[in-house]
Amino acid sequence: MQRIQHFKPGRFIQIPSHSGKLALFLLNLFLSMHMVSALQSDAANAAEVTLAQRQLIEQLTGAAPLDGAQYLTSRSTPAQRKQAASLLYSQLEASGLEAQTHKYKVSNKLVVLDLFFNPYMGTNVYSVIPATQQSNEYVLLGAHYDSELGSPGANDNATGVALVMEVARQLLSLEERHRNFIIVFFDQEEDGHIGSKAFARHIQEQGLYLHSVHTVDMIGWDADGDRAVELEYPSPALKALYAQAAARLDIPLHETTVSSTDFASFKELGYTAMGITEEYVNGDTTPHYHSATDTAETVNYAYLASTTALVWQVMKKLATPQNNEL
Amino acid sequence: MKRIEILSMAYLYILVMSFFPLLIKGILHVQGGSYAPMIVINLLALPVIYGLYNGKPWVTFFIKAWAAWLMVYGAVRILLQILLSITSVGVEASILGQLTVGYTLFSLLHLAVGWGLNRYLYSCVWVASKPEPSLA
Repeated sequence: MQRIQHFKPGRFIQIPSHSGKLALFLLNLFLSMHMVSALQSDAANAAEVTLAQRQLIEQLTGAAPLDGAQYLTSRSTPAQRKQAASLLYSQLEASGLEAQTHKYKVSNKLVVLDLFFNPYMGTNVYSVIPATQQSNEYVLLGAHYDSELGSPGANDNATGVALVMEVARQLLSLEERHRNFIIVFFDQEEDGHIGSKAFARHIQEQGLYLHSVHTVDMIGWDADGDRAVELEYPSPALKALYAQAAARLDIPLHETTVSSTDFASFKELGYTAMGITEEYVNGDTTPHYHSATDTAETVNYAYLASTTALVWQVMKKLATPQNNEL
Repeated sequence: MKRIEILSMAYLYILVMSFFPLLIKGILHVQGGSYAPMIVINLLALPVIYGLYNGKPWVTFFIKAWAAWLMVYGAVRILLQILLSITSVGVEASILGQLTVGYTLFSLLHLAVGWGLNRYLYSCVWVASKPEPSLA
């Protein structure tokens, strides 16, 4: 005859034996270790992010060697720009993106110069991160990689390049993207936005539908430590999007109508385009502008990381399907 | 009826080769959207090519014009290089970046070729009357 077991209240949570206690202890230990490991992994990723950005800035500014043990002192001559473009191309490929180049030739601003000098010749380096869902919309995120002659161009604009490269890596890791993203590193911004103008025309010729253009230029100086960011010519919808992300990250925003960088090339063709830069409006901008002292040591990496987080939040939002009204 | 004959193959070879660098530059500029260099080159080079091919005596004028253009081209480039080495304020990096040793050699070569084409024109190019057909 089978003996009927009568369970007392609380029986199921009672630990039946020492071996059971040990098993639960081990389970608890395993879970705790897993959680700690996960947290450490996140922390490690965050550290790597900063390291990758820092390394890229150091390589672009000659503080660290390129792959061939060569140093870039500036990114203005054709040879230097070619080396910088090659570095960015390989970095995109190393990140798992399919890097592409857009080579262009543009005539000089004065016809008489065409008789004695070569036309502007340069290379935009770009990559398309395709949407995971069917979409014909493209969001363009870019930064120029050239620098003024004689300047290492850390703040202007290795910082912008590092920001865009990092956001590109994060975009690639998104499981769902409802829009396509174009990541571009423009050439010859310092000569009058030559690279971005050529790329804007290229996009127009391709007939791609650009949802919005976001260009980052000079984002490594924050003397007052307020992490404030300046938005140049944002549309009301984009301004709202940035404001939402900035509020979450406690980043002050300023809005200006200055169009002196690459996004202007797209605006001229009628695209929705805006710029992201440091806090010019309050004079909190680098004193090393276009000089030989614009080195990697002068970059405020915490500020760069803060702005990277802001742009990433906006791009992540744009990758979701809830932003069709923008 | 007068015809011209090139007496020196070296002269002819240098003359023909002198078209190529500027022609390539012209194509580069056309790709960039500027037709001015190509128009200038064609205005001078096409009469030379046509005249040489057909033995026209007036070709000497265009050879001289071409030689003069090569000298002006080389001299202006060298002058600009000297000026920009003294002061380069406000000059675009794309232009300053071209001022290399190669740029100097290219300019000097054009200067030398232009001078040579002009200097040896009448010793290498012979303008002769075509023999009249005999009535006998």
